[in-house]
Amino acid sequence: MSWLSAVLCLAVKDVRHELRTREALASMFVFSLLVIVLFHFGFSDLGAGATAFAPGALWVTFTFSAMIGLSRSFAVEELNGCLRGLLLCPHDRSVVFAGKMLGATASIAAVSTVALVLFVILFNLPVLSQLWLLWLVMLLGVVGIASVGTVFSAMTTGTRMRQTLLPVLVLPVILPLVVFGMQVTARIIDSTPGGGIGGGMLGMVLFDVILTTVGMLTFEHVVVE
Amino acid sequence: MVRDPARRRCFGPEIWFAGVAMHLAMLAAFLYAPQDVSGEAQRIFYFHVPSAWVAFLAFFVTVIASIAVLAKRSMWWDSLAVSSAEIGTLFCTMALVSGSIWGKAAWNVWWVWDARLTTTFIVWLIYASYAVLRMNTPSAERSARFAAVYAIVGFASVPLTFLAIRLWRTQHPPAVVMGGDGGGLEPKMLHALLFCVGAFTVLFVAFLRGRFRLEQLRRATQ
Amino acid sequence: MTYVIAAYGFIGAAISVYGLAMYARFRRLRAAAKDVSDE
Repeated sequence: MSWLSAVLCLAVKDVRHELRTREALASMFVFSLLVIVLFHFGFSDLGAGATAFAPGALWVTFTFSAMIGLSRSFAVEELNGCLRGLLLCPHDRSVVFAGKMLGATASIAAVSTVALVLFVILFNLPVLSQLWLLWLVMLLGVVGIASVGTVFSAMTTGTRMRQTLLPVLVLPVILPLVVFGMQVTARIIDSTPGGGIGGGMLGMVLFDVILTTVGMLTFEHVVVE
Repeated sequence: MVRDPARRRCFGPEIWFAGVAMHLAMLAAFLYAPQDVSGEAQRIFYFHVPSAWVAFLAFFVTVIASIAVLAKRSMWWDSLAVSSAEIGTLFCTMALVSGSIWGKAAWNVWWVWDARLTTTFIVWLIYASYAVLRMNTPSAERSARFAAVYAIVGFASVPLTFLAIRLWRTQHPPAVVMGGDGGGLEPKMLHALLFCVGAFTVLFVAFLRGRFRLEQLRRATQ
Repeated sequence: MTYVIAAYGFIGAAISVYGLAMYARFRRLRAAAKDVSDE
């Protein structure tokens, strides 16, 4: 089996599992809805309307629903000792990392896409023509969160405070990604002329490349039994 | 290192050197350096900047040690990593508190979300998460490995954090601009600052050695 | 001026407390180790 097909196989397995059990997807989705409601009531007094807080609310949704999805990523393997089975495969550890990361990206992106569309509709954001761009920015963010999250999720399955520890570890590290993301999102929503989103998007791509590489290199040290 | 833990000393002679250097640094900050136009409060800068410098230096040492932990599977390097991280946390706290006090004194705000101070805050958060991770990983060997990975990943993200906030700030110009610490410094001020940075570095080395020996002793006697 | 004292005071206190705590802990551990090795 080639490296790529092994990675895809693992990712598909994870996504299929999520679709079948729907546990994580459901909680992530409900969480997104809750954020929408909370932010509406929290900020509806702002004169400027939803466009003022939409970037922040969107990225809070992406980030925290990603935490929910990620903490399940390795918990799932723990149940039947599946992780050991995975590690016995005749491939190097990067397959497990890439497969898990891809699977997590797919699940989180799916939920985030729905959340994004709901946001646009429920807050009457005037961005329908730019929706594809917003979606792309979201995807760049999700990829970065998934890369860091996969490494730390593997770490925290071995520790005592699993679910609370993961956000504590992940959030300081993904901050630049979220800052770039909010920045670019805000500019897209505001339809600021002259672009200015190039820098932010480049920053996100840079983050994704660097952190995925570092993640792939260090992952094997996390899953050594 | 000495074989018999009971005979080892906590601090080497460098601690006395550090003590002298730190007192001289205070003199440099108050007597040698001329007063700035913004007033006496600016003198905080002579201890604030070196604190931040050591915080970042300690992070760097932790990362080097972490790489060694993973490459050599060595607990010796892990002792160094955890020692440097702890000291780094201390100096990072000092940098944030002194920075905040300086902000209040000079510009009447307790906090400024500029790139340097915010990045220092994020570094503090990474240090804190590092400590929490270590606390919650029962096995010593795993704790060493996981913490090493976290330090390395965290380190990779910090420059990006700085860039991200820089970009954010250029698009949201702040009402208050924190004084530069490199541009427009009078020569005497620069001398004083460099001396303080040197003194703090010596203190860091002295503390690092002490904390490392403490850690080795702690592990040997467990 | 009080701000300057507060800042330097905090830094001085933090360094001193940390250094002393380190030293005290080391001595305690060393004493305990000595007890064990003397037995």
